[in-house]
Amino acid sequence: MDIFQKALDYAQEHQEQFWKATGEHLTLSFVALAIAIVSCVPLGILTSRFGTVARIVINIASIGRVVPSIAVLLALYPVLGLGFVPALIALTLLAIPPILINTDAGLRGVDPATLEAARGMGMTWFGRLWQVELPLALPVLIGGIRTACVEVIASATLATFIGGGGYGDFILQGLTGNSNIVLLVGAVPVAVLAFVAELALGGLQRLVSPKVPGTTRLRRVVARQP
Amino acid sequence: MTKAIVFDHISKDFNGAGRAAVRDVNLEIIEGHLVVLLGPSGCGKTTLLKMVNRLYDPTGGRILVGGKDITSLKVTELRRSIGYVIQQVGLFPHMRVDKNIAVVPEMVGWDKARIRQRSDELLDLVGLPAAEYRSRFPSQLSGGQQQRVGLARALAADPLIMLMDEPFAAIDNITRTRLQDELLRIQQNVRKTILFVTHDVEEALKLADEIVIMKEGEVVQYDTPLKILSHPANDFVAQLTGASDVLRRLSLQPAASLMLPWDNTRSFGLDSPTISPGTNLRDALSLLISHKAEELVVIDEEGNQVGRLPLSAIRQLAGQPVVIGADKP
Amino acid sequence: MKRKSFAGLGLAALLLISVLLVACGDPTATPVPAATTAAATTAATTAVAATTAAATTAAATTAATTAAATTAAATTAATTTTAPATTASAATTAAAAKGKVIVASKDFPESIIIGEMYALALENAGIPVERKLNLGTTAIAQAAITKGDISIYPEYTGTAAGPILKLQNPPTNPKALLDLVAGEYSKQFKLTWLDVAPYNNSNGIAVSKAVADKYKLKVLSDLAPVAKELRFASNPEFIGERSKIDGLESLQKTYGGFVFKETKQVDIKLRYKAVVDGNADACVAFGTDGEISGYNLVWLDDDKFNFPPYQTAPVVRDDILAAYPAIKDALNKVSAKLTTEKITALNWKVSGPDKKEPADVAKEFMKTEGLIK
Repeated sequence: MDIFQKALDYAQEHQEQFWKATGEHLTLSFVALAIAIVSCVPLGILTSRFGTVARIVINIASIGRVVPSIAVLLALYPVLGLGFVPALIALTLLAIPPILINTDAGLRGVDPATLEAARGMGMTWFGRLWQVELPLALPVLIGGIRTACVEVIASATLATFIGGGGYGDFILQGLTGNSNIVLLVGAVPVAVLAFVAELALGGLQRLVSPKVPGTTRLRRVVARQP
Repeated sequence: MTKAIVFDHISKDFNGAGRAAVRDVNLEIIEGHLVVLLGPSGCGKTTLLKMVNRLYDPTGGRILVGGKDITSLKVTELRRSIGYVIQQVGLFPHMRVDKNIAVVPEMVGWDKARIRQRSDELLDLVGLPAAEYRSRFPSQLSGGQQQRVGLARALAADPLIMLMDEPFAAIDNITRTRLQDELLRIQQNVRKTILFVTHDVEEALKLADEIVIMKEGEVVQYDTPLKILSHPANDFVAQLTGASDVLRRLSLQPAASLMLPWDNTRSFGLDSPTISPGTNLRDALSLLISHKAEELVVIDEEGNQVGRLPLSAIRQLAGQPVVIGADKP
Repeated sequence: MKRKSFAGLGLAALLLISVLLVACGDPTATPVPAATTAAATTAATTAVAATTAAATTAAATTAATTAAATTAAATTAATTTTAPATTASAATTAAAAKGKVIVASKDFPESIIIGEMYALALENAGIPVERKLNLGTTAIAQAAITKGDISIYPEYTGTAAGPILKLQNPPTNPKALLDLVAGEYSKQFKLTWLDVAPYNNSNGIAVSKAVADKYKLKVLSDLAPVAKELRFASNPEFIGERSKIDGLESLQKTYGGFVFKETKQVDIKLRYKAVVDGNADACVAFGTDGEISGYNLVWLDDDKFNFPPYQTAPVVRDDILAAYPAIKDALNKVSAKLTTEKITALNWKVSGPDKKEPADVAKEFMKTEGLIK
């Protein structure tokens, strides 16, 4: 356990570097996630409505899922060069599949009877989406964001390969310099971040999930959904 | 009598291929009546229903609601003015019961206090005390209770017309009977024009003011339940409704229709069983048999004797043959 | 749905647990008595070797991994526990069976070329050889040779002093450094350093021609004061743990200045590209990198002798050397021929536009120099 103390000492000695890496890692992760959410939720809404087109888009997204982010990083290098932006693009590409696929699946999973009732009652296209479909798809959608978030936080460590910064700087220094102390300075915060994101989004997911009788507290929160 | 809904040469041909689902239907639905669309599955009854709130658009003909061609209205406006109840209920699982009921009133711009009052009133009307049920979620209700909420939701903005698509089909027998009774009771109060789709003959006979019998996209007969039983248009109708079933026919006819005037001079029969004028002849018959009586006394709500119903009269009626293909009266 | 969230939690948990295991498994955490040092260090290097393998493989060959850290840390943990036992058994096996000599190299062109030269020289001397070139990083090579999985590989004195021995005050005199390193290797790992080649592949800094002209840069002393106007691309090691001894911080101490406007840490393979593509003005350069002249960059001399020397020699297992004493002569002949100019030219044949195979380059050189027929 002494090594944690040493890692802490190292981090304190290199405070400026550490906080810079922290800033870069958080910015990379959250901007990538935000872009993915803003682009993929609407796209998922579209694909959930159009059968064939949807299948094509979703399949492309699924292919994206198996392309390793490091490959995306290195492939983007000649086009976009070094630094923050290409790393951000690679991470965004990584975040897209789970969010897109889950948005699509969540919306398709809404009971057709519920939708028919909504139509029959005279809800507009947007009203159905906003008041019925999205709230009902929300748990699945957040599940996608949760997966994407943990993946992005973990993968942001690879940004260091192309000068994108982040905790990966320390991890790679530790690996290449044969020092587990330096490796931990990068790895511990990444693990903690991923864990916190996982727990927080998991909690949010439960909060918006269909309630079981007896869970009064959750019920009230959900009832406030627009 | 005002015509609430008019089907004017309505046809619907899905995909434009093969057999049309609905062919040249002409119907006039009278305001305040509960009209049942009855027929085997695939006969076009649900298609016909869904054309009223434009979930489907006809491929030919037009539909008038309140005298106006429905295509002249904004489709969302049209739907908001028509209550809609479906077999799977389709409550919004993420909304509380009162929120479910409030959906249409909110869309048409009622204020909060009015919506709240209306939703409480409706919950009480459908037999779910508002104080207890308004803040529940659909998953916390039984199937029957859910459909009661579905009914309340359809009634929420006080529509003139209700469309009910096999609303009780997925509910167990005992609850179904109770819900049918409730619907009749509610209809007594609200007097909506109701189009009600079912494939259950008993349900149709019990609920309908008039029945539309459909086969292969066409209307075969449009008549009162009694007429349909006593004068089925053809073998199909006779078979579908089991028109030859005497007891079924009797069950549709009230005592008042067959009773003889009360003769004040007569003193016998004071110990005979009594019934109300609305009691159906089937129940009257079983009362006669169980009391081994020759005659029933019909009394009104105040207890005055208004007529008598001799066993012989029922016998005579039951003995009449069913006339298939009889002209409509 | 359920399964997915479980997997997510699992990933996060794995990250955390693996970090804990790395912590527990680190030998540098507690001082080790002299007798057990060898075994312990072996365990450590093995562990890190595995770690590095995971990360480097990911970097170089696009292995699918969402979290390099996860894989790396987890592997570390796993290897750490098994390493000591394996070490013992593997060592005995290698010594007992007088089999082939396994010649290895690290995973960059210069190491592969020299490794191939060693193999050719041994074959020429009639010694049975098996090649395990392009093995991986320093840590992997070190772990492999102490375990007995390989017999010989080329190593640098500066690297031995740095990531392997972690010397805090390495001598800057090449001979003194070699003696110190060789002594420690013999004592700790039972490994022998043969003769070093005359060239020096030490750390240094290169700048673009334009920048060199603009600021009139010739030596590192010239660069120190103007660094604040320049962007710097660095490999991880140069600004990592040993920055104070053999990196940016040591430059700052020796020369003053050397505070760059921006320091970008990039993969070691992308340093020169960063400068060539205009993403940086200066980068870490190694003495024999063909890219310096190849890309028309300017190498700045270390006029205050800040950086420890990096001389190359074959590192051989003692037991192998005892079994095949002819190894020594065969390899020393090779080392004697490797001058800075020659090795730089060889490097550029591989990493430059020619894109030749390291094995072909090595063979051609050996023939030209008359070391083989």
